[in-house]
Amino acid sequence: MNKVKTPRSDSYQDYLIECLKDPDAAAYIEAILSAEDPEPQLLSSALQDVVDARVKMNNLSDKSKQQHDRLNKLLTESGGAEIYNCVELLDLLGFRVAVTVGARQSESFR
Amino acid sequence: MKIPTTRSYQEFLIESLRKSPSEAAGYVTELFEEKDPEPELLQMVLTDVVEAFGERNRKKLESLLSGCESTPIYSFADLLNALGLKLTLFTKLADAGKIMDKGTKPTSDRYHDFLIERLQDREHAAGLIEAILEEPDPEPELLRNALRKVVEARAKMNKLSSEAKQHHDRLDKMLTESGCAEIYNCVELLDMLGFRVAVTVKEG
Repeated sequence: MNKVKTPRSDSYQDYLIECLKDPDAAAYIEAILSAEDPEPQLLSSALQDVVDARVKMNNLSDKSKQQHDRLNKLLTESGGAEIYNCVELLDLLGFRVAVTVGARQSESFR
Repeated sequence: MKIPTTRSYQEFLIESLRKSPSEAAGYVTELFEEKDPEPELLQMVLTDVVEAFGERNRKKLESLLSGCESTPIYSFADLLNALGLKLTLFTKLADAGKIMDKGTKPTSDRYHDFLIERLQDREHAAGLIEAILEEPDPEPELLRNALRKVVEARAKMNKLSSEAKQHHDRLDKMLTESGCAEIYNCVELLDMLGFRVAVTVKEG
């Protein structure tokens, strides 16, 4: 797998995987989504982290990988503007966007 | 606030059912979720609903009501429950309009007003947006339409800040061009990874 990202040390990767077990990964994405003034690459690099962690655990389906590639292309172009704008509008309207572990896969993941 | 007596509570209840047909549907649905409901409960609940909506055809409704025996209806609900199914009531759109409005607006306008009115309730608005994000194969304009309606509902209540309005204008343009591709694709990926996106009302 070729990553166009800054290489990271093995120990960081291990740390990441430890950190990105399911409930924490959900909280991580949620925090990224609600970041104020996010840098354009923040969301895509966070999703990359989560996906990397899954790959290391051998827990990423081909379908998910393709979906991630598709999304990544969109995010690279836009910097996540659409998503951040939507989350911010919802915030201004008094709503909160939360990311939780879905019931559907949480069991198989254990 | 004065403590409601039984009678004024009854009136309050009927008034609130009258205001919201979907609430009335929910009221009856809840009955089927009761464990061991008393036999007279069904008649009580349905009488309230008839009271709320039966202005014009009271006689006919009352005769239908007298035919509603609780035992077979409860058995039916129990059977469904045992099968893992649930009896839920919804309002028919056309009738919801009929109930809501005595004016002469065309149905589509009345339904629109009805929707907007419901979206003034924040919980309901959050639920709508979340439901759209959970759609497996959403149409491109679905989210955009919903956000528009939520914003319209807020504006009607004079509760839309100019910041939120500007923000919505900007987002609306983006979503028109993209068909919400970025958002839908992100939710889809999260779903595949086993995550769920929830929209809730902020506290405070």
